[in-house]
Amino acid sequence: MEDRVFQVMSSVFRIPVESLNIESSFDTIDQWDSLQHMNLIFALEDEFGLTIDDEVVAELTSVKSILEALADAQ
Amino acid sequence: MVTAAAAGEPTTLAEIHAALAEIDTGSLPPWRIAVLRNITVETIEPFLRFHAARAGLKAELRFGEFDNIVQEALGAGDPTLLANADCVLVFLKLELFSSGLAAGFAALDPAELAAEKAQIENELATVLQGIRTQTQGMVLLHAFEMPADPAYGSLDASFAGGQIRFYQKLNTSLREQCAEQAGCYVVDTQSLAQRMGFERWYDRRFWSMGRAPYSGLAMEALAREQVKFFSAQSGAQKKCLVLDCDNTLWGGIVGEDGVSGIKLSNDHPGSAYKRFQHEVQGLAKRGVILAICSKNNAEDVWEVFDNHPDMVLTRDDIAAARINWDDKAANIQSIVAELNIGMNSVVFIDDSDFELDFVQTALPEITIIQFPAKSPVNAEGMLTRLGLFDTLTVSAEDRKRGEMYNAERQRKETAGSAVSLEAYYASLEMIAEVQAIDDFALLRATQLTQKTNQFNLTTHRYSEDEVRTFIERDNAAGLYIRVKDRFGDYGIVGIALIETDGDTAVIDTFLLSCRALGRGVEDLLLSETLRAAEQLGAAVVSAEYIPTEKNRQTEKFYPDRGFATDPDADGNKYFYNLEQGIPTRPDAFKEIRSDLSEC
Repeated sequence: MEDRVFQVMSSVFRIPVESLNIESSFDTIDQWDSLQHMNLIFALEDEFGLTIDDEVVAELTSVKSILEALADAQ
Repeated sequence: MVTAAAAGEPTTLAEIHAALAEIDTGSLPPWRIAVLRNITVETIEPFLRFHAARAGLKAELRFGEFDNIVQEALGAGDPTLLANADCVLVFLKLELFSSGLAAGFAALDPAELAAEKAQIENELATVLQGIRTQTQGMVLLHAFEMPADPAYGSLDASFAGGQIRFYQKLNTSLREQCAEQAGCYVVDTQSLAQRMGFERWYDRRFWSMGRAPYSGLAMEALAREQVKFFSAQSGAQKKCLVLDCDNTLWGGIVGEDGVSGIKLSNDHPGSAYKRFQHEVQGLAKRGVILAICSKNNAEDVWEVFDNHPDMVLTRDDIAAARINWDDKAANIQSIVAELNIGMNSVVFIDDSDFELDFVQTALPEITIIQFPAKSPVNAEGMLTRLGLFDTLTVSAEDRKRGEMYNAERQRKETAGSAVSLEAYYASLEMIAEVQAIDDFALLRATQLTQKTNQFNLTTHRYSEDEVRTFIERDNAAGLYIRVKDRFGDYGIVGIALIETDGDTAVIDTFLLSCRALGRGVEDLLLSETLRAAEQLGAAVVSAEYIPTEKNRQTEKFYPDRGFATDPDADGNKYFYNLEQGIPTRPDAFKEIRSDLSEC
């Protein structure tokens, strides 16, 4: 799951997958702005085949919160 | 490649990014796009870059400031934004453009609505004229979408003061204003949204959070639609549609099923082909040149055109035709030479993976489309939706273009130039299996003798018992060939039956299903048949071509392969002296598994 999230983030932010780790977040990734946040949500939904509720969308600002949300959804 | 149902087409962001990485956009001419908008649409960028690249353009996007449409149109802000643009996209979300409408349609009384309408029309005129003073580039204005949940509910559509009618009136004036400005066009967002459904078109979350109304899917669809306009403007639109016949213009194979046996009628499934033909004829009326490229006997195809009661297309609709057994890439090159058009303006539609892949490999500039032969009902609308032939105008001359080419048909002698088949065959990774006909193969072998017309040297029809009795004799053998390639398993595609009389082996039956023709399969079956004859103790192989209405393509099969004409017989009898050795197996195959021990 973690690797798939890294893949998605790498593809959306156009950054190498090696630059990502479990601590990566909105604050540590320069390319992660509010526009790319939309793309990230779209891409996560494509990859994991789910719909993320609007309340959750705004909270998914780190790898950890994304993994938690995905675990909850599955 | 463009496929029928867009299966396998990149649509998600990840797929688009991956596909974009494969395209070298550096050499493409730039196409500068300025985006004026009162909504967040930045997510359209990768989709636009991808679809533009496929149309041969390098899209360079610049976004105007959020909700500054009127200001930027009037020249405030960065003056280079519009001045350098080849195209201006205007995304104007009605609910943000009009504060009154944003407050809720039903809250407005008729006088207020009239005032809103007048103001919207006025600002629209300001925007369009303002853009025109700054650039002569193309302007694409997005139509207002109908309300997903109209204010007056089920009454809305029939109510004169309803929201739907109000929006329709606004769209009418938007269209009229566009028509008055040269180079200004309406993108019909409403049709796109309808096709997708509002639930998938909008994304309420990002609309609410960041004034971004559209889903990723909607962005993809919008980009695809916009690029149709770019293509038409830059001259990249397609001009000629080359059509296969069997399982494309009609269902079935005319050479096998006969004119009365093909599927083409007012009832399912023939109706699907008929509707497809109506659509193709409509394209011809819009100026698209139609051509035919079919592996068939020409008389069979023209007989369908002339005598089938449900045929829609006529000979006059067809500007050029190549109906023969040559490879389709060479035939299309010949069509292109005759019509004097560029290969990059040609679209080829066929049902066969093999033909499409072969043509695309040989002619990389051509656009290919797969006819959905397994579900022909899906063919209707496909060509229109792809928009490959879309133009910015339709003239009276367009409507006559097909006839014009038709009249010129005789003008040029065509020079067919062959494409290297060998290289292509190698890429197919074909595997052939040749074996004695056993109990498992018997039914299919029998069927082949009964059904095969075109590549059938003797056209002897046999029952299952007759085939079994034939091959069970000590002085006889039956072999089959089964072929696979990277497109799949074609199953048993050919058989040969031989029997010996003294030191002479007679080829009683030699046939191949038309789905296996022209890839060296016939040569392999022949070499293995000669091998089997040798195994039966023969020194000479005798063969015969019995002409029928359908099998003319095999007329020269034996003499072309080193068989001598039999001097003792009149007509189409040949012999092969096995002392000359067995012909080498064709090298088109990745692997040949030949086991004749049971013959």
